[in-house]
Amino acid sequence: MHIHRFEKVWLALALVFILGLISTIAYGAVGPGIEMIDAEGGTVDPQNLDETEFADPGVEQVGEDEYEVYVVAKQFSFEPGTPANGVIRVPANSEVTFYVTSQDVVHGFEVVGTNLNTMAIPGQVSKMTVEFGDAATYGIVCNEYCGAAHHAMEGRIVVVPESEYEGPGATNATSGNETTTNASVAAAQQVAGSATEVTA
Amino acid sequence: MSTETAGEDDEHFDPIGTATLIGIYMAIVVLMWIFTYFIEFLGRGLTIVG
Amino acid sequence: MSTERIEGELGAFRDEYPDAANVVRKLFAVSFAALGIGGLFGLIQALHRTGVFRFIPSKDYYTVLTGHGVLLALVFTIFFLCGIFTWSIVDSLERPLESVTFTKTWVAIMSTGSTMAGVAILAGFVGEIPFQADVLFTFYPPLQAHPIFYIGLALFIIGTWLAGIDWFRTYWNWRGDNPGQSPPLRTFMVLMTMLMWYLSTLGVAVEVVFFLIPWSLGLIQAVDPLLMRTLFWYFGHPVVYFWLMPAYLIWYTILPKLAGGRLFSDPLARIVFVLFLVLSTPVGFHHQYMDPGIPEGFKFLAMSNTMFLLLPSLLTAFTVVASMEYGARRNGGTGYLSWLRNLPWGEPAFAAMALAGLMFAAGGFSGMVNAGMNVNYLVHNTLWVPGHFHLTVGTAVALTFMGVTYWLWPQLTGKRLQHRTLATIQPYLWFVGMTLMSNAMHRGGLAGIPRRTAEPQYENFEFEALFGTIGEIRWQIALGGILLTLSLTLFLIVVVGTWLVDRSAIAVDGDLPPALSGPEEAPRAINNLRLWLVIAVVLVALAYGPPLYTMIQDGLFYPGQPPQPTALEPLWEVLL
Repeated sequence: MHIHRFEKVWLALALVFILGLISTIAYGAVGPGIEMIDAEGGTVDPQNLDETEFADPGVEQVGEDEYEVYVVAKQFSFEPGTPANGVIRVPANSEVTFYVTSQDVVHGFEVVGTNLNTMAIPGQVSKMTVEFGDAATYGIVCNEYCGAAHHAMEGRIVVVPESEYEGPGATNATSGNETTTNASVAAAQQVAGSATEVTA
Repeated sequence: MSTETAGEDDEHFDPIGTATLIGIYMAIVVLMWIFTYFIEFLGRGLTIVG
Repeated sequence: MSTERIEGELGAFRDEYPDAANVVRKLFAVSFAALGIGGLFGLIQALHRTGVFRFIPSKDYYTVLTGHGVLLALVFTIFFLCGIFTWSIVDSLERPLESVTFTKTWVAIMSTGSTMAGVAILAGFVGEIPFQADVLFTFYPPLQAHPIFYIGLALFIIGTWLAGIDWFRTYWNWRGDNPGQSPPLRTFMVLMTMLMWYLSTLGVAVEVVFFLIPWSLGLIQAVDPLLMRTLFWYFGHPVVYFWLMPAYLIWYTILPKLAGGRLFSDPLARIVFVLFLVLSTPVGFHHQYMDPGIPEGFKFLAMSNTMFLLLPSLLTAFTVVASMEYGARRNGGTGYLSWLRNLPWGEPAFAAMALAGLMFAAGGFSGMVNAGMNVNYLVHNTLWVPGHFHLTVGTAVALTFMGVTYWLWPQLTGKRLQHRTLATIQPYLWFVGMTLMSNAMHRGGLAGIPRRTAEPQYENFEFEALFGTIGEIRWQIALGGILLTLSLTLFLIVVVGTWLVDRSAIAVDGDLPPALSGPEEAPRAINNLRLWLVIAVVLVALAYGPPLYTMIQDGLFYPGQPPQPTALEPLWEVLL
């Protein structure tokens, strides 16, 4: 079969280019350490979220500068995240792991202008760890159509300076479970105190 | 300009213009890829690392 | 290759194959009706979401969006495909339809299915009737549509399967009369496309028939949303190639002739279609990079396959441009780039296809970003994505279809193309409109503006554009939408105007010249359809077997979710 020599060169170039694209992605995974959302978050029964870790979603402190945020996406808000449910408040310079699921339909969880972006699928948990730097405010937007008021589904993450952080409990407007909330507030105050000492 | 004038000449047709165009395209795409990936994407503050 | 040969004659496809021409005309008519309505919906969206002009409540935006997606991405494209494939088979095998009744049967099934889905969607505007299908083109459960939406979709797909049988049957009969001959290029392309289609529609057929129809009838309580998404995207990427492959067929077989040349290499064109069959399906997970519940390894495998799927498109770019260059040089073109001036830019059919190809090159870049596994975080479900596919399906495919219509419509109707000036302006207007809309959408996506949203204006934050301003991005989208609608109107005026005049000499030469490097130079294995199908099936089994197995480990319906909105009364209970 006759193939023009220009075409042979182009075929070789195209293959090199394709391998280059794949290598770039592989570099992103091993160099800067970008991880994909995967099956690590496990599954939950979306019809019985009350019996799971999503029963009382909110921020929890799990280590000195480590926090976990459980978020339930629902028509048409994030809990927490949407101001009516309490925005998400975390301290600056902390490592935060988000666990996101949906209690009704498929939603999106996109932190605007960042690389934090996932689908919130009923039955599945998106687990994502990010490192927050300086104090800032981020917007959260639902980027998957979820029903007639989809466009109203938004929220906020407030990264407060470590010295002003009052603990995870302060974030939770709908404190369903008093004991956990109180316990986490106490724990957070301790840590917040020690953090202040360190910075001072 | 009928089909029959094609023949011997066609065997030696070198699509040099096509090679030029495609070369320019490839260069643009490679530059845009580098910009999008390394500056726009990796330059963003929040990135999932775990 | 002189046009004079046909001048003064009535000789046209219509006269040689009147039944086939009749069917193709009808398929095109449905396709263009969908294009008109779907395009109008697009204008409403462009004006609404940018806040330039809002005259419908925002909840109805999603009804309009569903209509836009289904009418354009399924009805316009696939009816047109059926028309162009029917023409390709009949014209390249030089055989009339095997059975007019059979052909009309699949056309009727496809039309009935589309009408049912369309009625369910449009009923979303009327609150009083209990029909709706505000589920968008992807119909992700647990959002639920009325059962007639899913049944309509199923019928539509079945119709396309029967169409494929019709084309295969014609080919088999031709082979019986021409033993040992390799199928003509257009026939080969049709058959490869249909093999891909049979393989890939299995996913959506299983989703709709075994899960969504029983679920919407109330026979199943809950479905697993992730499993449904996976079955959808098993089909959802190959469908993209189902739109694109007729455009490739046109670029390979008709565009070189319009440029005054001929195809550079027939065997290479066949290899490209083989690659499409083999690689189109095991890539669907690249639409689910952001989905939880799918291990990273499967995503990486899908990405590698996707990146290799660039290869047939890159090869096509070279072969098609070289075929055009050959034409330009025969018309006196010289130099490295100045030969471009010797292309027939004033011919609407040529201009439309060439501009479509140019925009496809741009869309190719944003597609690479979409396909890049981790860089997808940057753009997933933002306005970047519709920016991308308005370049690909919305221009590469749509504008090519419009272009080939300028060439084929006279042959199908036996009438001379009317309103030539409008036809000449139309592709350029589309190009300008799409340049405005699409560049703004890409930039808006980088700023984080979500797609599929009636009012992407929020209280908790502001978008910040990297290049330009958000206000300017909105205006470009709105203006682009207006120009595209205008261009679409011109196209419809030309088509309807041509249809309505009396017959005359059509001034179109329907003959297609053979390739510079003919099919006889291809290795024999290239025409072995069975071999390629087996390889495609094996690749699909490798890419989808393990992840589907893990997904159904905890039960076919778990984790399950009942339908939303729940207000709908299950039809099944009403009937009982």
